Amino acid sequence: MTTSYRWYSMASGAALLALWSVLTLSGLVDERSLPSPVTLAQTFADLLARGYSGSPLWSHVGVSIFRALAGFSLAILIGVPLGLLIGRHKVLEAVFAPIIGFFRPIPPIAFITLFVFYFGIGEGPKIGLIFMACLWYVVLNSAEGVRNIPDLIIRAGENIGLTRTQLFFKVVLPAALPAIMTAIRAASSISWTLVVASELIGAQAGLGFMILDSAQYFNLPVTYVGIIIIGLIGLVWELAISAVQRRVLHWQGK
Amino acid sequence: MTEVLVSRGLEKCFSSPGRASGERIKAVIDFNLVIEAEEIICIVGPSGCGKSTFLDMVAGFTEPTSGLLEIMGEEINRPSPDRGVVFQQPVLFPWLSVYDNVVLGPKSRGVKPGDYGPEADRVLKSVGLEKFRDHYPYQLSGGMKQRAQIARVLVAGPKLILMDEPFGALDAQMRINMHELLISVWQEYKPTILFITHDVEEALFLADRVIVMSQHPGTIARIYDIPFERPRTYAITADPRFAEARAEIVELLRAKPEERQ
Ligand SMILES: Nc1ncnc2c1ncn2[C@@H]1O[C@H](COP(=O)(O)OP(=O)(O)OP(=O)(O)O)[C@@H](O)[C@H]1O
Ligand SMILES: [Mg+2]
Repeated sequence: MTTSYRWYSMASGAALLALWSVLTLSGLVDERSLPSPVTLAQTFADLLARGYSGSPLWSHVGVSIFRALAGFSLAILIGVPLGLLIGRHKVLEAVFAPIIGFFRPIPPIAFITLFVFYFGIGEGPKIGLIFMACLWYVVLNSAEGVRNIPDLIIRAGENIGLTRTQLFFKVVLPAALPAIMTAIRAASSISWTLVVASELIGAQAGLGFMILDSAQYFNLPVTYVGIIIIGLIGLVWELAISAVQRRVLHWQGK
Repeated sequence: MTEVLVSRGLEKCFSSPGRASGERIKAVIDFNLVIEAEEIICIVGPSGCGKSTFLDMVAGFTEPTSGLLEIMGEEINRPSPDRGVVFQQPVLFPWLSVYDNVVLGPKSRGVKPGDYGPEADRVLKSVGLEKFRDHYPYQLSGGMKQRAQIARVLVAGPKLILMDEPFGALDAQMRINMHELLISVWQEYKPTILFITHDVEEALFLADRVIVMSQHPGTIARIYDIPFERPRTYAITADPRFAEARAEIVELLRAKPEERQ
């Protein structure tokens, strides 16, 4: 975004904040149904000082980030190589197509009870859920990335004398990298979204637990602060990944 | 003179999905050609006559249906940097700098940096890209990309350079620059070159022999010896023998229009 447009973004953000303040501080909207920014700032300070439900705020944040990151990383670690192989080998594609075709359209939340049944209510089912939701996405995008590599680029690799293994690592992998990065970006946002859902599975900590638990006790300021923290972390994570993408893939689309 | 490439009774058929099963298109038949060391051979012919089909077999991208195809007495059965290809589209690896594009081949074959480094510098200088070694392909013009492709091929010290309409996408002025560059590269390295083109003037300017192909069947119609001395300059295009040869080839290319589709 150019600097001139950035002003518009800042102005719209400020306008939203101003509207919210006016509505809540003037009493037009009941403070109990929509807390004011001031209340939220106080609640945040309070959470920082005293934590929530016996754990400090940073540990709720840390637990959620850990779960999202664990499920997401596993999905990348397994999904990218699997996708690359499927994209390159027709036999593997034929083997996996029905499996992926069947599981992919099922919303991962539908598996929550099964996950609890098999893995209990520890970290396993939460990370497993995130892993599964990200996996199909990463596999399909990586496979698609490989299939879309122009034949000529492969021929150029063969022509300079690369062996099959070298061709895979020095041509196929980098050529599929834009698609892989797209998959990673989407998976990162899926994983963060699913943290809240996964923390429904009997969690005692985490941002998802914090907002659900506080809402059950009508402690709305804590719910709002939790949601805002989730949003901000998602935003920072997204910006970080785009920055990496721009650096690594500076050649993309040119 | 050493025979670099020998093609005898070479034939390539494709099965055509549109037609009755078992019926096959004969893209190239009875292709007989011997290319000597340091020759520049240009192939011209109507679109679809099988020029690329022949070049792809020489490159080892596709297998002949029958016949003999040998490079320095060895049967061709796979792609190799011995037969470096300059593609029509600038097929560089977009994630590598010009220098890394050039050295990827030798590096992967286990050549030592002390050997491929100076060689890469030399070929980049020969094609006029020494100042652009750290640029990425997207930062280069069309002509510079083709020069980078030529450098990538030269660095391997190929027995035969294969070029399939390498300058077809460039504008007229750039094309002339590339012809002069190719002539100077030839003066320096004396490579054997097989060059495909639509452009009869380009063929006459570059070639020692011009192969005119016919369509249906896709085979050699005639071979012309081009007698101009090397190093050549654009002055030869004004030579009456040049105009005469051009007229004759153009006439041959448009002969038998009922056989073209
Ligand atoms: N993979 C393929 N499968 C089926 N037919 C093919 C295949 N490749 C080429 N052909 C056919 O073989 C014939 C020769 O094609 P080729 O590409 O060699 O022509 P060309 O002389 O290079 O033409 P151009 O000047 O347009 O590049 C054409 O009729 C083409 O349709
Ligand atoms: Mg062709």
